[in-house]
Amino acid sequence: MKTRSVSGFVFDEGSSQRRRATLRVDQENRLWLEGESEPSGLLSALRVPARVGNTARFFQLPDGRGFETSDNDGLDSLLVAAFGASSTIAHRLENNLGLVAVAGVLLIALVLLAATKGVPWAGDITAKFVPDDVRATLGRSTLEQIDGAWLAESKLSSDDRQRLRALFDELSSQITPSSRLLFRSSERLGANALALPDGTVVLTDDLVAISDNDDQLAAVLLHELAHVEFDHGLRSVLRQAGLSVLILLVTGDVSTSSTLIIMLPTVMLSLQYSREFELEADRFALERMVSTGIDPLAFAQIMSKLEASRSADLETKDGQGDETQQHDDGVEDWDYFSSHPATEDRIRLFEEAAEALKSRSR
Amino acid sequence: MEPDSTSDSREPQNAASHNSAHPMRFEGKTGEFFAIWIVNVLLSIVTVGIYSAWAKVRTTRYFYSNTYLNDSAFEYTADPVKILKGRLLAAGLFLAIQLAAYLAPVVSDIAFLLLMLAFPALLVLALRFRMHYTRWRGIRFVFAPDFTGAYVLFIPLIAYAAVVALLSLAAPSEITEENSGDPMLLWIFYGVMTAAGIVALLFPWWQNRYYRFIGNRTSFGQQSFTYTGGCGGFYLFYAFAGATVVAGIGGYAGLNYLGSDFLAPSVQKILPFVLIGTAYAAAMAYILTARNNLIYSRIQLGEVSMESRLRFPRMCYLYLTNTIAIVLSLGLAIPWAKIRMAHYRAETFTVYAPSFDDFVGAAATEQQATAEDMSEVFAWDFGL
Repeated sequence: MKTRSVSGFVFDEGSSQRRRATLRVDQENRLWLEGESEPSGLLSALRVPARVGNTARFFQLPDGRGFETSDNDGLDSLLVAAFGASSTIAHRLENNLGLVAVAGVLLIALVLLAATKGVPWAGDITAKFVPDDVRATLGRSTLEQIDGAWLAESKLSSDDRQRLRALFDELSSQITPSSRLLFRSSERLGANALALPDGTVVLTDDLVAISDNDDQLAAVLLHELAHVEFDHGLRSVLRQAGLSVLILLVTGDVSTSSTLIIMLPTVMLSLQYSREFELEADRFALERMVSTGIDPLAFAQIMSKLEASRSADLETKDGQGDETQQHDDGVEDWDYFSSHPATEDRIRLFEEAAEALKSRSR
Repeated sequence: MEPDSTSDSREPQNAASHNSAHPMRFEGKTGEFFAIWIVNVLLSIVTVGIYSAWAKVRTTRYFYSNTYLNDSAFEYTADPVKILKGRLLAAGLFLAIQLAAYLAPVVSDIAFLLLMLAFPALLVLALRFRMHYTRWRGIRFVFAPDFTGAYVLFIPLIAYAAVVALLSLAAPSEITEENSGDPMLLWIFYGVMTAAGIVALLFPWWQNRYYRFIGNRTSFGQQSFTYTGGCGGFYLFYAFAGATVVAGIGGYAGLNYLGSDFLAPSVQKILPFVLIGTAYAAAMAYILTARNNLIYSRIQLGEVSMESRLRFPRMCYLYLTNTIAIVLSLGLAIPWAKIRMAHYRAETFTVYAPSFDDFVGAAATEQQATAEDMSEVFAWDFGL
């Protein structure tokens, strides 16, 4: 049986004083306040706001008075008579439990998918449309920054430089001919090599010092050239930007104290991105080493040496409680800690390739 | 940790003996709001953001209409179509500026400058919009637009921005080996630091004026709100918050100095984030709590006064657990977190009034939705 009345409160126009009242609809769809001798108007003249959850609704009666009711089902069934549909699509969707559950699962899937696939994909696509002068600017400003803060003049002999530059040109001529090699020394970075977005590769003196032979340096240079070839610098910048947009979308409603806890998933995701790039660069270097006849073991050897020199470095530095280092290197050292087992995997990749080559040639 | 003046259970100032206490009540339910929220999110994604205007209205209505005072709920009556128009305009402007900036970079600087200059006006429009569409017992809140007053209010901030802009024009575009010894550079640095210091010291005073500006121009129907009180209370809680951050930095410096021998390197790495981050978050939570309580204690609506009794430890607990839950649930806990917070805010809010029967509505006017949503696109939050 359909309800033909709702109870609530009536307010005179522009007044906050309320009275209990019952609103009734007669056979001709006229509205009556119970106890009054005149109808207050036609049901079809009512403009009632759409239902939201089970919240009270306030609406104007045709004669200008206000009416407030919490009897949402009663009000909706009154409205069916005049307008057909009783509630909006949104309200019906919200009351469909199955749909809500499906939507919840979909949303989780969407967020995960966006974080692991969507953000990298969007970043990589964008990178394809970025003109080269952006890479040049990015490379130049990065170099300026680290030149000021971390890097100093190289102390390599001009013989060493000439020899390594020739090696670099030979390697890069088949990959990215516009690349250039810079020599720097750095206490902070120790033995290290960097690839900048514009194709510049920076090699530190310490790395040259710990290497046993040029094959090992060629392995490192190939790895860095792969970063250039695959545009890893710009792509990681764009992925980071996409990641911060996603984090903002997911947590946009949190007002404070969020920074600390949000840092964790952010760092974990960006680590995943950078590991993906490292692996890609390793595979490329391996391929080139095999095709140009450099023993893949050279990469494994230099990696173990780097590993050893870094842990030695870290121990001495931490022992002294070097304040600035901890602060600036925060994220990089996270990288270092979490890529620890991964480093072994990377070495193994090259050792296995070397084994395979050997057994084939036997 | 808390100074008493911001959190005590204050007797309403001019509450005559016939004023009785009316607690605020919030009746929102997590499950119900979760359904509304998730449908909002999905429809917004599916419609490429068009539905977000409706989503905003439904969300706001859910919270307003579940908040009861003296058994009557508040209402949010904004028209989603107007909000959508505002958002489309803002998005269009934003895109146009981005495109133009690609051709001529100076455009984005000019646009930013114009936006800064328009900000006081946008604030007034946003407040007008929000108040106009908020009702209780059918009576609207009104914000009397006072553009001159808004610009006068923002003079200190505009002056600060102008000083920094002028100084940065005087500075060389690049700092190189050659010009780094230039005494001019040092003076510019001192100038910027002094201006920033003055602004930081004046900020509590300014914020008191800001809330007074809003409070004194707002009415409920024909009855005006009044805001009374000096800036002392603001200085007190900002000093406390500042001291908390300083304590966090000091704690880090101390531990770093003493602990370098026995703390593991990995612990040392995260120490600054944990200590300084925690101190910063606590200071922010403290400011929000104390400021909220202080402002409501100073607002009066004729004979009606109000009181907010948020407590700092409880707010910290809510912020922390909400954030953890939201991150761990990949965002699904947002509805739960919002409902919880609304419950706590209503629970601790009391209105003291002799009667609610004598308010009279003001004549209504329509207005543009552009202001509030321009500000949304440019990420400026207006909070009262």
